[in-house]
Amino acid sequence: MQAKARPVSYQGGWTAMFMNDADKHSAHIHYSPTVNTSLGYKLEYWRDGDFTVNAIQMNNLLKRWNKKGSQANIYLKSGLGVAYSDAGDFDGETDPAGFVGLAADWENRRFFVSYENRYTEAGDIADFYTQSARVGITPYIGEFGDLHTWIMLQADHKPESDNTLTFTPLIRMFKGVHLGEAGISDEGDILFNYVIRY
Amino acid sequence: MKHIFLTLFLIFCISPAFAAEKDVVIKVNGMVCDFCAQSVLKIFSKEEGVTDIDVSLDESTVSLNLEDGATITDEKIAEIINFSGYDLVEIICIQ
Repeated sequence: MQAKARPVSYQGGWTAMFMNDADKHSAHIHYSPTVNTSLGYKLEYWRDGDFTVNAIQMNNLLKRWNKKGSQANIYLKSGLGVAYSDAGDFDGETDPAGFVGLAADWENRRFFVSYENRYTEAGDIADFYTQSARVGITPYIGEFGDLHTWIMLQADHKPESDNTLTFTPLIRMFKGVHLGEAGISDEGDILFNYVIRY
Repeated sequence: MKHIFLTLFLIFCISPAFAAEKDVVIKVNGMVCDFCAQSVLKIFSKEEGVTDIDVSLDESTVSLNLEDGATITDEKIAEIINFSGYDLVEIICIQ
């Protein structure tokens, strides 16, 4: 289960992701015309900054290592669109927006590690850098078709935030084409993610 | 009595347990996650002549049952495994 549930799907595959955490709510729907690329629409609402980003997002699989019993990936994620602020100093302002970041992961059937960073630029409304990492372990190794359960710890680093470093223990469960995650950060913020693949 | 035994024998022989042997077994590398391996199921299920697909994460294999008379080329299998995001290791055809 690669970084944020595989930003590039199988060739011809659709994926819909709905993410909610301490900072934002987001929806991302993408299509993979090739096994190395996905193209989709990304909607983000950043709560603290009270701004929305609508963007076209492209994900590129830069490198994959398929080994016996493990897989590792490096992805480039980038988006271009428009940011709109509906409160604060920039109430009613619309600016061009873009973001770019790298994501990497490694997993076998017992352990999982991932890292992801991103720089976001939205004109006067916002510009910031974030990075996050995850480690995970599954208490049991399920076969294909079983309900799979992972216990994970996510660390988020936001240099420009009041809480620079936060930790979120979470549970990831998936079966078939459905994947859900739920957790609570050490700041008491709820994480809830859902992904479906077509 | 002989007919009853014969009938039971025939039912037993054509039951799913005895029909479980697959026509093609494909060994792949990188298939460690159920959620991602759904891709294999989705792409092979679109393939004409494939009647059943079994994925084993334990064995790192994809096993196919084909319709009588149907064939699937090694090139097609390699392409599908590649489109699914994995590396093909070996194709074993069961006669």
